[in-house]
Amino acid sequence: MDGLAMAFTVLTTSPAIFFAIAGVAWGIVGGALPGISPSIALALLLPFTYGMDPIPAIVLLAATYVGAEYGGSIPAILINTPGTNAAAATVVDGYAMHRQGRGGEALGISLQSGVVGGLFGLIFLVLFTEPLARVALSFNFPAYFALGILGLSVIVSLSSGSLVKGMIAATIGMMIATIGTDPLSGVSRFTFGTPELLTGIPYVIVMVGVFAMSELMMTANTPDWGKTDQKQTRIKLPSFGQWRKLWRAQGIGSGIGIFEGVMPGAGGSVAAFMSYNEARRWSSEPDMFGKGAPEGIAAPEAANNAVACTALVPVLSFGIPGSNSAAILMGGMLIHGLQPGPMLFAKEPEFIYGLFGGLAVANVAQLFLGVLMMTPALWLVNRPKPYLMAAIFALVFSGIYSIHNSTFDLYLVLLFGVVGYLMRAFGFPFLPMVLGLVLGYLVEANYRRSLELTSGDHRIFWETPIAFGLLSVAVLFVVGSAIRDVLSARKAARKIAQEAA
Amino acid sequence: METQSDVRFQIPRDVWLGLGGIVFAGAYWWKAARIPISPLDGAVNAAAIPMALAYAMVLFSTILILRAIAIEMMFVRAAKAARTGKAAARPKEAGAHYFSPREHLRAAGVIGIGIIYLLLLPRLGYVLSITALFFAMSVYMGAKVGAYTAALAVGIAVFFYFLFVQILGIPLPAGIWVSLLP
Repeated sequence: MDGLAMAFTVLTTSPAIFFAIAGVAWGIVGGALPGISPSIALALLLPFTYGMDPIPAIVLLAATYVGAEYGGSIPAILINTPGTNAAAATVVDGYAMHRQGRGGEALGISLQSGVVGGLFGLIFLVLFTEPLARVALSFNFPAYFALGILGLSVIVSLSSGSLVKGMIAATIGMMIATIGTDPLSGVSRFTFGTPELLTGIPYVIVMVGVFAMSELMMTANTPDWGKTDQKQTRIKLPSFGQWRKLWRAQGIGSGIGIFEGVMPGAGGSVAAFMSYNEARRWSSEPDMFGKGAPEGIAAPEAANNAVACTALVPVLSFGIPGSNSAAILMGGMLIHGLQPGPMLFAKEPEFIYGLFGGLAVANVAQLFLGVLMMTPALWLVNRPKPYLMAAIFALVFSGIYSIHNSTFDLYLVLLFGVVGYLMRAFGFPFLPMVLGLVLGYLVEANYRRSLELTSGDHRIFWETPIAFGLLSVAVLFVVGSAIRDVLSARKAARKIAQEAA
Repeated sequence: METQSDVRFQIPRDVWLGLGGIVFAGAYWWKAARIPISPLDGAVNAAAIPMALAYAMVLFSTILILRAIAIEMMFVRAAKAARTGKAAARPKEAGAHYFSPREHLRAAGVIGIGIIYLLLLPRLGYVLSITALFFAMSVYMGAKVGAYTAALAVGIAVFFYFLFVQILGIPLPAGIWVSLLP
């Protein structure tokens, strides 16, 4: 009850409600634009949060994540182009319904299912984050080091692409984290005599460069997306009778979304496709899937909105983000001096419960904003791509400049844009790099502090039971993933031989 | 097109990437080895983790090279064993993009526009530079050169000026115009 009272107090005494609503609105618009993933929508907002108080800033970012997951379904249903990766599963039946003249109904199902999934995810977040954080409270320096290594290993193992490329990406992220003044000894590292680098490279610059700038470079080679008739699309929420037919799919989607959100590396896309398949398996009309089945929209949309809430569970309890968007949210917390992890509950309970309250407002507000923002979102989707991309470029440059009033930061954004572009071109996953960046300090500081305790004796890592356990799991993940990598390469070679024969 | 019977070993692009990674790791290690020793350093100094990361980069880059060579060899062996004369298509890595040099150049143009903007910003000031940035980027992405695009560029610049300078109070560069005032 204390938490509830705290959330209520924060919501009524700070502008968090306003920012929750603003975040959902921006998320819907951002998610609706093909190419602007939830992580890019979040990264574009990061520079604006610098001057804000921590609670409204993080509520704004979290609400954007919530809104973007619904926003992605708008172009998926109307123009057969998912606005976000997680909305790819919605395309199948959503677009089929639109072609049957039921686009408004499909949008209504998507919106209402998103709200249901989001609320279930929020309940899980509120109930399970604190108990998990209490477990993490017993961690010491070696255990924290091992937790950071485990987080990196799991993400590297589960990310898309080859294992070794994930490892290289994570190493690059950790290398970026070493730039600046070493917080433990005070010496400067890799600053090349540049005063701007003494404080390190801000997360926001890396994230905006890698996600947003590289996307702009990619879109230079992609054609414009399709357009839709704005007048024909009026959102139609499902009636109670229709909802009763959807509850099973929404339940499946919410359950899978909750589970996948907590799992590192899985994210909304995996949850959406898994729940689509499960909803079809448990449906009384599985043959309708692919031909405009409302359940084919309800399940993935409930799943990806549940993920938007439960992705915060590992961030808040252990300080380990499991997806790109969660990593950016964590970056936002670090910018405001909030160290995600178990101590956050003890040190900043107002922040935690304020965030929960803000997410509750965001999920409920999504129902109304989904209707209200439909017209502006469609208007934007219907603008020519060149103008939208140019406006995003101008927004990125103006927003990043405003952080330190420095053009040096803008050169860095361009540099990280090139890094992100090369990573996309050569198939390196982003998440390990972002995780290496945000966990770099945690890993290094706890490694060095651990060895301080033993005057450099590494045995502390296997003599501490929690650290030993976590490191063992990390090794298992990497070895398992390496075996999978080798087996899939062999399978590919065998396939070539069979196709040739 | 190369057929299965005459397929030859080609150096995969991951080999070049791995070699690049090793060179980068070498440069990073060289710089890490020159991190000064501080009296505040404890059992592990400030250079330890960076040097370990350089070694890790060399290790992973080497694995990347070996992996790419192994995959190419498996492909060549499988294609040669088949000997059907069909066209040989190398397996493409999931998630990677295979752009032509022209497409890479087009993507690099976005960065070029950004650099030109940064060179213009201190001289022309924010409003004119952002107008030019929007106009150039729109045209580069495929918009028509004309009054509509120009008007939109001015509109966006004015909107951003009010948002950042007037509402958020950020002192964006005024350019050389202020010094020309009497």
